[in-house]
Amino acid sequence: MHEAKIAEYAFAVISETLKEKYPALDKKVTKATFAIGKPFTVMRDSFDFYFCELTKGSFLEDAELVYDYVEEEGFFVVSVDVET
Amino acid sequence: MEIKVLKNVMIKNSAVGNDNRRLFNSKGVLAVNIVSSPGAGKTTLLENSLGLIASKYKSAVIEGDLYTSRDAERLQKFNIPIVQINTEGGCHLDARMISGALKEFDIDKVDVVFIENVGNLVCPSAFDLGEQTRVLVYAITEGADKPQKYATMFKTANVVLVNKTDLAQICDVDLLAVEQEIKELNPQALILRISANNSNTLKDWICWLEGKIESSKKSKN
Repeated sequence: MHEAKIAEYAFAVISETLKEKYPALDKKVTKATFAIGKPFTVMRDSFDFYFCELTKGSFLEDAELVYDYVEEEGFFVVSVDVET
Repeated sequence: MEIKVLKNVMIKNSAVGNDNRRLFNSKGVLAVNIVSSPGAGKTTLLENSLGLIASKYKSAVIEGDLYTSRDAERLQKFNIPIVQINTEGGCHLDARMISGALKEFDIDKVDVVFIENVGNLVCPSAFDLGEQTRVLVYAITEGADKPQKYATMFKTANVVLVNKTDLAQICDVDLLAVEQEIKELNPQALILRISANNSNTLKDWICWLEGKIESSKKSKN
């Protein structure tokens, strides 16, 4: 269930990053790539659920969520694809 | 168009955790994050520990629970600052909750802050609250297989208090084997056997705790 909080953090990190480039946050994100680190315990399905609920109606709604696994500790936002 | 982000989202929590830790360090206050599964004995440990150190040190408690203030009520007899955090279903405390709770009492008037986390052997391990030390209460009544099953929690603890050891025989638990398993997961952790409801078994724990409180007071910066 900690995935709910981590989804909030991820949403905030993406928002802050995009605001630097698009202050109005008016560009739709089509894909977000995350990296799940070790020994972090994040369940993809659970994160998917919370992230999708959280981002409904936002620039992240319906973005494809892609995951990778890394050795570093933590949960990372690797990149986002923005519509041009 | 791809935009690289490359950020660990946990910095959102750890940044506030680091602020909390700086505050504790600057005041010479020890912060102890007590974690365990539900019913392992966190509150009983606090009940007995608070009584044993009360003549020497001033304590405060931040109580984390999903619902109710039952644990906080058990500690009211000590007449110390107690801040109740109800997570309303949330499975862990995070650093921002602690930051808010620290505004509810005068930290200059305490030597040690105990944070009783939400009972859960998974989620709290991922959230740094800004504590200097993490104490895991592991009741052997939960079964001897828990260290390997919940390895992250055991790996991130500074102290593992193996609790309810008076029930080891009834539960058919080999304490030496359990301790060995914990050591293999976390060689640095201090492992102590206790029965939290029996103050006589808490001497080593209290001795360690008092040493840590003294260290924190001396290293005030």
